[in-house]
Amino acid sequence: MNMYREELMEHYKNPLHRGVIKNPTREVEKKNPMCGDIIRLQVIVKGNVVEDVKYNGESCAICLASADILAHEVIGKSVFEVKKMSKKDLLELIGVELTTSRVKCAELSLIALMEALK
Amino acid sequence: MRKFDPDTIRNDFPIFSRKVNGKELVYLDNAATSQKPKQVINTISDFYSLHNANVHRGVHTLSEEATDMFEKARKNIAKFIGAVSSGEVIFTSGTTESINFVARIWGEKNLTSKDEILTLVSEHHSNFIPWQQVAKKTGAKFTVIELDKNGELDLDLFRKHLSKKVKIVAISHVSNVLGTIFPVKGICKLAHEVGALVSVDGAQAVGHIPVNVQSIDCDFYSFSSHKMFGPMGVGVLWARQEILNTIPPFEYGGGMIDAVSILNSTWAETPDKFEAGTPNVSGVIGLLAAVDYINKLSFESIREHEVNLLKYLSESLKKFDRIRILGPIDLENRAGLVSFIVHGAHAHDVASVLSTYGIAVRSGHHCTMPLHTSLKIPASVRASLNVYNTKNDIDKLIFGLKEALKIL
Repeated sequence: MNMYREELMEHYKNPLHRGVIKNPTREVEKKNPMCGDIIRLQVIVKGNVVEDVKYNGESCAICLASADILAHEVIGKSVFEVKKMSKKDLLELIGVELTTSRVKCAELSLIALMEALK
Repeated sequence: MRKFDPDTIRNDFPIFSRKVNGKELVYLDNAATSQKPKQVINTISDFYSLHNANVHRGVHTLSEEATDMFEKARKNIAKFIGAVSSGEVIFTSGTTESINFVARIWGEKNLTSKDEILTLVSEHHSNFIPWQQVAKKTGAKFTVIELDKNGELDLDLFRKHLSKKVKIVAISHVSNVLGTIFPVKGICKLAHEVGALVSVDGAQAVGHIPVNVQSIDCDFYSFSSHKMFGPMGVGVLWARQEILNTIPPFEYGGGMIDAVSILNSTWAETPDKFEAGTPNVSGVIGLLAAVDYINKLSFESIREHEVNLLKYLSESLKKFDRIRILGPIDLENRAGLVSFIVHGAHAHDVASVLSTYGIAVRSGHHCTMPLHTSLKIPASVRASLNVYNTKNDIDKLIFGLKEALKIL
């Protein structure tokens, strides 16, 4: 099925950025109360650059794969640039058509990242 | 008793004539809401087309017709649940409102910091939060009893929690996640021995297993129309007449008064006292059509059909190494629903893949966060059955699960 296309599932099954940072600059935990998804996202910011992002959580494939794609996209970019990212940008990066309820799963990591960069 | 034939029954439900994602609908989310038969849909449509008027207010023909239909519904619904009189049946917007009514109006009037409320860890949020909050407000102790490893209530453990301090036991008749049919009759007997009242959340029971409030001997019983083939937005609170006589109105407005002067008001008798404002007349009449539909099928055949499917579903799920079923092993103690977890896959992903095959199941914590926390699982998948489900539906579910497990 389209929502679970291979590239997306690759980020879920073999993630590049899932894990824990020992001394993060900021960390944020976000929940989706409707479905029970939880994501913990950590960032290291040095001189206004997002040096590293890691995440962890008990969440669905869409939520975790989205976090992995997002982390991969923003590492190395300036905080200023990352803050300009919208939900639409993220959904384009994910590149699969999501139903209304699943957009919320995908969006959780972006909401956490924006809060971490506040 | 006519032969119970789900294929014939399906013809009564217009929704099965549509396609979902290009496939025939396999509807296994009945614990969330049931589908509606044409008998119910037509009754509502006929009310608005032919009889629409406000109730209890006019002397003109339409108003009298509407009032007669509305009160006939109350009378027959009272009979359906074994109430002593129709005055004990109060129409609400659903189980949630019914329980909030009991917790707030009875609870706030009768509970103090010396009292205790007993409930179960498996309660739906609608039978959990109202009591948790009334406990905070009144200072009463809020005690949540854990279930055993099969998701059943150990009556000895329950007995140990009982004391003269306990004023109310809030319990579901059937768990919406585990499917457990709780021994409400035994619970009421034990609770009454220490002078406690029992409020039963019957949302998952009515329409699936026989319910008789006098035989259960509870004090409050709440249920929703939409889970038993009726329309959404209407439900029932049944309470003993002598309790209703002692509690104040829930809301104020039209239709619930005896007399009103500038400084004072006096209240109508029950049930009118508790039904301020224009009620959901079409909803109530629709609910009666649903009750008639259930009576025609008969509880014995409904339960027999659901238990047969439940056995088949449960056996089919057991063949998956990655699937663990939650709740009672003894299917006689289980209503027609099965929640399960899939190792290595999140419930949402499983449900999403199933949806592409036209299969509707519920995923998430099913409004029971305390239970999911207690079971140490983030979410589960739930397949819940009804009269129109067939073995074919379950075969399709199993096929969908196999496909989902290939991807996830």
